[in-house]
Amino acid sequence: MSETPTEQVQSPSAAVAQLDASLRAACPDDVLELSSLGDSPAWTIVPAAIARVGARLRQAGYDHLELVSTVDRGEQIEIVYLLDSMLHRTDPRRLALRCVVPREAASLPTLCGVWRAADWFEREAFDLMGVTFTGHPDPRRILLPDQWQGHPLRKDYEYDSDTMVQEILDAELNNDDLAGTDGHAEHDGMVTEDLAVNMGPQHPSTHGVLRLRLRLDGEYVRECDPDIGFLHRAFEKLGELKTFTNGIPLTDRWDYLNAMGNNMVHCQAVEAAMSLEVPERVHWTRMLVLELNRVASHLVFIGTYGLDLGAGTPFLFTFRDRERILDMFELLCGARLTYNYLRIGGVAADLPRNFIADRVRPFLAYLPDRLAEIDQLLTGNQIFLERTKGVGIWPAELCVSYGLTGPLLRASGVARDVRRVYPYARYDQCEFDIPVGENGDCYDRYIVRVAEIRQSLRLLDQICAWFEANEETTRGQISAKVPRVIKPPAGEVYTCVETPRGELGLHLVCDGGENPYRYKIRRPSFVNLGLFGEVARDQKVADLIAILGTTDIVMGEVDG
Amino acid sequence: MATLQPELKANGRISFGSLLGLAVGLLVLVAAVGFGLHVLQAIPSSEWWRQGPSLTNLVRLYLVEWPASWHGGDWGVWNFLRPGRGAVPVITAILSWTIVIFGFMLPMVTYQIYALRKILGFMQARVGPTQVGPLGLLQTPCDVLKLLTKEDVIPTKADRWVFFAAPFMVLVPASMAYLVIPFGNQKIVDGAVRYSLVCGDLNIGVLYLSAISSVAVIGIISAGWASNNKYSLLGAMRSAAQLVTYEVPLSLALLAPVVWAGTLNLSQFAADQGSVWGWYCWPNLLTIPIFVVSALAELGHTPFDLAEAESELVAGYNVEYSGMKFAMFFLAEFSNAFILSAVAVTLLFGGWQSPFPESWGPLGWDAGIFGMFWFFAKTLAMIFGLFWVRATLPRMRIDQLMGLGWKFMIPLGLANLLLVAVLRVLVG
Repeated sequence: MSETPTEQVQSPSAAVAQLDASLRAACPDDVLELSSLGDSPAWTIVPAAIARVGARLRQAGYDHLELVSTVDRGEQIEIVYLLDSMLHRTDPRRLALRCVVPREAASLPTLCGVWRAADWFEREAFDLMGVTFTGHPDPRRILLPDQWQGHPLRKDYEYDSDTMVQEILDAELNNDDLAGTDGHAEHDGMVTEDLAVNMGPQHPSTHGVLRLRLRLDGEYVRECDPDIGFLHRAFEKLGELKTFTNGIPLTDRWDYLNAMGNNMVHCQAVEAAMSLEVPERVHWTRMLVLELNRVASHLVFIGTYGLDLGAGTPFLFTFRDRERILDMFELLCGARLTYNYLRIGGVAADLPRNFIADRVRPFLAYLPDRLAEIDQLLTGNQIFLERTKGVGIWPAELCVSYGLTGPLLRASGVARDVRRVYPYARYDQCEFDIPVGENGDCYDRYIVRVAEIRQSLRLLDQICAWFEANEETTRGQISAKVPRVIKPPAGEVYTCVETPRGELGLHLVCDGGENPYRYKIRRPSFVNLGLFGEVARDQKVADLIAILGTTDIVMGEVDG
Repeated sequence: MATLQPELKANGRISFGSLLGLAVGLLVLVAAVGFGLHVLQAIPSSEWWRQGPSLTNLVRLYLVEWPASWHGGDWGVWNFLRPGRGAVPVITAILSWTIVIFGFMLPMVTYQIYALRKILGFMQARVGPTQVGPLGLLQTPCDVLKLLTKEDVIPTKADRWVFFAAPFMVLVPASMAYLVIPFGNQKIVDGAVRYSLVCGDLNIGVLYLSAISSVAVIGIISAGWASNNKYSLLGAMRSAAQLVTYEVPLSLALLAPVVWAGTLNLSQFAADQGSVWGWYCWPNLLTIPIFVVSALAELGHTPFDLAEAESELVAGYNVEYSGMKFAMFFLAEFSNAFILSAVAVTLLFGGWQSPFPESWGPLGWDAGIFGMFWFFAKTLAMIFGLFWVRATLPRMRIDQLMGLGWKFMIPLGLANLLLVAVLRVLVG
C-alpha cells in the first residue's frame, strides 16, 4: 500500500543543470533564463513557445500541471506554470515555467492540449487577470458572470457597481438559455426530444451552490456543464488587501470543513517566505489539529455520501461522531467551524491541560467502533455496493491529466500524498500508509476515505505519544520569535498541504510590504471539479449524483 | 411595530368572505355537535345497536334514513335532496367519505408520521419531535393544521385543472381501500351481524383492492405532467414505470394466499385463519418476501423511493405542490402504507385473530375490541418494519429496480404461485 521511500537523488543543482541543458538543446530559441520559485527551479519561456515546451516536459514525465498562476508586474503580466510528476520519477520533482506577456496584449497559446487541467486554470486566469489563451476550447469566464467588465486581480482594476450590477441582473433574470438547448436524439428510428435540466444552484445534492446544466436523454446525461462562481468571495483579492496576520481568519472560509488545513497553508507560506523556524511543539500541535480536522471532514463526506444515495442514518451517525472533534476544537480555540487557530510562527493557544488524556485518547478509542457501524450500514450493504461498484470509473491517466489530487487521485491507484511527497510539519517522522484504490470507481473513492480515517487515527496515536513524552518539557513553547509587523522580504514561494480534498497550495508573491503582492490559491476542490463535465457524460442521472458525491467538493473552495 | 399596526387596522374591515367563512364554520360545528349528541344518546337503544354497530349501518341509518324522516318525509322545496332523489347518494357518499378521511385516515396518518419521526429519531441517535405538546405529541396535528391553512400555490404555466385533480386521483383510491379491510371480529348472533368491523363486506375484496390501487398511478402521472416542471415529470415517469412494474409481482403475491384460501373475501380470510399455526403465512413463506418487496416498491418506500429521490429529483412528482394538495399526496402515501400492511396482516398473518389459541384465556380472546387490538398490533408491527427499512437502506437506481422487477420478482412470483397451488392440491 505504502509508497517506496524517496530515493537519494543527485544534488539538486546538478539535476537542474542537466534538465536545463536538455531543454535548451530541444528548444533552443524558446528557453530564456533559469531562476527559481521557492525551492523549485523556474525557466522563463518565450510565450509563443509555451505549448511546445510544455509538451516536451510532459514527455519528460511532468504529467501534473499543478497550478497556473498570474502575477501583475506593472507593464507586464507574468504567467507561472507549476509542473510536477505523479506517475513518473522526475528530477527535479517540481519545476516552474514563467511567461511574461505585455499587459495590453496579454495573450499566449493554451496548454489544454498538453494537460487538460489547463482548461479551468486558464479560464480562471482569463476571468480574474485578463490573460487570453489562444486556442482555448471554451474561453468563457468561470467565476464571475459573463457580463462582468474588467479583470479584478489586475492592480489597476476599478469596480464600477452602478452600471454593471444592473446589467448582470438583467441578463441573469432574462436568461433563458436552457430552454434553447433542448435537442433531439434518435433511438431505433424513433425521434425523442432531449430534456434540458438545470440542476442547482438550489438542489439538495449539489453540496452548496453548484449549478449543473444538464441535457438529459431519458435517464441519461448527454451533456453536463458545471456553472460555478455563485459563492465567489474573491479570496485572492482579499488576500492582497489584508496583512499577513489579518489574512488567517479569511482562510477559514475557503474550505470550511478543513479550516485548520487552510490556516496551515497560509502560515506555512508566510513562514517559508520569512525563513522562519517554528518550535517542535508547534509542529506537533499543528499535526494534531490537522489530522483531527481530516477525520472530521471525512466523516462529513461519509455521511453526506450516504445521504446522496438515499441513506439518511449514516449522516446522523457521522455527525454525532464529528461533534466530538468539534468539541475538542471548541476547547482549543473557542470556535467550532472557523477556527483561526494557527498563527504565523506558532499557534494561538497551547493545548489545555490533560487535553490528550481526557479528550484525544478517548476519541481514538471511540471512533473505530463507530467506523465498524458505518461499515455495516454502508460498506457492507448490497444496495450501496450496487450503486457504487463499477460506477464512474476514472482511469489514473485521466485523473492525472486533469490535475486531480487527494483521495480522488489515490482511488485511481496513484499513491500521491503531499504529506509524503513534500513533507511539512513532522509528517516525515510519522508512520502512515497511503491507501489507494484499484478501480477508480465510486466505491474506491469512498473506501479510500474510510481507510484514510484509519490512517489518521494511526497518526493521531503517534502524535499523542509525542505529547505524552514531551508534554512537560515543551509546554508553553507555542510560538517562534515573530516580529510585531510581519514583512517578508520580496520574493515568491509555493507551499502546499494535503487537505481532505487534495493538494491545497499557496503561491505567495511578496514585495517586502505588509500585504501579499499576489495571493494565488491552488484550491483542490476547484481543480477536482474540472473533470466533472467530462466524466458525467453518458451517465445515468442517479449515477451523476453518486459520482458528484464522491468528488466531495466544498463550494466555498471551488468558488474561491 | 409602529408600521405594522396601522396596516392591520386598514385591512381589518369585515369582509363578505370572512363572514361567509364564519357562518359556514359555525353551521358545520353546530351540525357536528348535534349529530354527535344524537348518536351518543341513541346508541344503547338505537336501531344501529340492534342492527349491529358497523360503519355501514351508521352511514345508512344516520345519513340516509334519519334525515329522510325529517318533516314527516315532506321537505317542500328541498324535496330533491331526499333519499332516493339524485343528490342524496352523492351527499351521503361525500359525508361517509369525509368520516373515513377525517375520522380514521387523518388521525391514523398523523400519528403514523409522528411514530415515524420518533422511531427514526431513536434509530438515528436523536430524539425526534419534543417541543409541541407532551413528548411532541401535538407536533404532527399542528403540521397538518399548518398545511391546511397554507396558501395553495398553482404555478403559472401549470395545467390548472389536471394540477387540481391529480391529488384527488391519488387520495380517493387510497381512502377507498379502507372499505374492505376487516378491522376486527365479526360475530353473527341470531342471524344478524354483530360487531361487524368492516365497512363493506365485498366478496371480491382482493380483486377490488388490486383494481383500486392501480388507479393512483394516473394521478401521479397527472401531477407530474400538469406541474410543468422537469423534475416532477422525471419523477412521474419513474413512478409510473415503477408502479406498473411492481403491480404484477404484487398481484401474484396476493394471488398465492387466494389460491390457498379459496376466497377473495378479506373477512373470510381473517375468519378462517385461527391461531398462529393456522395462519396462511406458513404455506406462503415465499410469498412474504415477494409481497414485502413489491409492497415497498408500490409504496415508493426506501429502498425504492426513486420517484421522490430527494438527492436526485428534489421531491419528484409533487415538487410543485404546496399546502393541502401536498398534504393529500403525503396522506395517500402513508395511508397506502397502512393499507398494504393491513392487507398483508389479513391475508397472511391471521387478520384480527389472536396468535394464541382460545384455550389460553384472555390472550386468546379476539372478539370485538380484542380483535381490533390484535389487528392493529400486527399492522403497526408491519409499519414499524417499514420504518426500520427506511432507516437502514440506501436507494436503488431506476434500472436496477426495473431489472429486479421484471427479471426476478415476476418469475419468482409465478413460481411461488405454482408452488402454493401444488401445495394446496397435496394438502387437500
